[in-house]
Amino acid sequence: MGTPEAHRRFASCADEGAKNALNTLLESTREPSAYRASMTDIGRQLGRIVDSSIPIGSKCLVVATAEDADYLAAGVIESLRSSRDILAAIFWNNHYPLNNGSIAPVVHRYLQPGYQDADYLVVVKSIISSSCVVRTNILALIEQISPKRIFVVSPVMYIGAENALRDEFPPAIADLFEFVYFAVDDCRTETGEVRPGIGGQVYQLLGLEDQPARTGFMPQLVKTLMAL
Amino acid sequence: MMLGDGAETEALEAFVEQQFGGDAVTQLRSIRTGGDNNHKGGVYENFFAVAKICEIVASEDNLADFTLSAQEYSYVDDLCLRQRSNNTKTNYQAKNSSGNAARWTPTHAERFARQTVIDLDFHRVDTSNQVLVVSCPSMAEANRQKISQCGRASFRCEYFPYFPASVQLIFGEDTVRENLKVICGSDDVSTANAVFSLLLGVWLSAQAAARLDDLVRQARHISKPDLFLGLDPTPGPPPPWLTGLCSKYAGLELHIEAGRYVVTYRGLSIAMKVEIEAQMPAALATAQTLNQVLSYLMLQAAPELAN
Repeated sequence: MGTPEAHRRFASCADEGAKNALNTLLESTREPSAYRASMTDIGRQLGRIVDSSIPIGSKCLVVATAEDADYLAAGVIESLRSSRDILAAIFWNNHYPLNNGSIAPVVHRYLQPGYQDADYLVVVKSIISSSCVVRTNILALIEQISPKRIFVVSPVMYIGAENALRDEFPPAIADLFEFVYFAVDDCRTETGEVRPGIGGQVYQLLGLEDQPARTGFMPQLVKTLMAL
Repeated sequence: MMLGDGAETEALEAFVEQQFGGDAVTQLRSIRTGGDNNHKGGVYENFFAVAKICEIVASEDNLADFTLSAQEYSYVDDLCLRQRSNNTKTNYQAKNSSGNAARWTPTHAERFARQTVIDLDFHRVDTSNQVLVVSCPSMAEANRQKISQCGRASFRCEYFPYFPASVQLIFGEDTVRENLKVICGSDDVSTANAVFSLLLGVWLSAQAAARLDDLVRQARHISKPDLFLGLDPTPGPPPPWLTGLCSKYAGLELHIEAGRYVVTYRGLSIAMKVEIEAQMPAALATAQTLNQVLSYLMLQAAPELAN
């Protein structure tokens, strides 16, 4: 394996701020609070890019996993909030490998009332490698919503993940996809971890014990939206 | 009969030579070689196999009655379905093509006829069916016309669509979707796709002829959580402590969905196994806030998810 830089290609939308934010993320892997702040900042930056593509006044459903809800997704929501109706769908997935790929069934879910009326889906994920979680969560919603576009938003994607996700879906759905990311990495370990990626397993890096579905973790975003 | 069954292979070849001549053995071996090069077939053959598994699982009570295998030493060798109770063997040849490969020819007729003789007189089944499966509906119809001219009721041609991904198959083929709905007890397409992946995984891992009850047992074993709850009896009513708990907090509701108790609150859905304590757990009895209650209920899924 060469240097991390050798395995990374930045997207054209990644300005110096985005590149710095990705570097800061990789430098924060020993400090969950700094890592969370960095992930939130990246979410804000990604959100600003998505923001320019979604008409003012539209209804937007931000879709995220429970681990991403309070950081990456919260940052995206912050950038989208003005002049739009922002709703959230949060999924507790159990992601694990099979001999023929991986699956990430939904265990619990939070669907903000009114989510069915969303015009745009913004699917947020801290890293897209096999795209299994993103695929699952889009599938869990797609028959209840008729979005005009589906933004798939992530700091880092594994090379080929974009086409792999498109190829999974019927053209009528795949044609709605628009990918927004800062970097594509082309190195993946045997366990499926993208390098340099986001610096490791997001759960531990964020200071979570394990996948939220296995720990009962409730994001603050969901508590706030439920007025709990 | 799978590759590697030495004595049986010899016996079958001897039978084929006696019935059809030495060239027939050579032909059988060449089919075998083609099969070996493409063990368990490609996406089309495997998706057809899993669709067939779903069809049987969704409609039959006694899954132990059915055995499925691929690439048997046979003239019609992509998939072989045996039903023990009526001693029936159905062999499938799958062709993902709209061209000549999928066209019914005298060669198909000869191979199907020979396989029928092998099944009836060598394997000693009571009924043997041969099915050509093609991915082009008009070719399937044309093949049916030709097959009807041979007057063999046990020869068929079926249409099964080709899709490169399971999600596309589930969206594109209503029968598969409906069967998965029965298996999951849910119309959620994300669950259906996960179940399809689980069944595909165990099918690809199966080394030899697999009984369908074993395949489903294995798939359920690696399903975390168990997504096959449509196969279980409808859950009984929840225990009184759970209904009591839900009535204690405004907005907390209890439903039965996809074989689980589901507690909802302002958009949150917490799914729980129906095998829960008969008495209220002590931790819940002392819970002071709704937040604590929801967190406790969510955590109940954890043991089912562990690797």
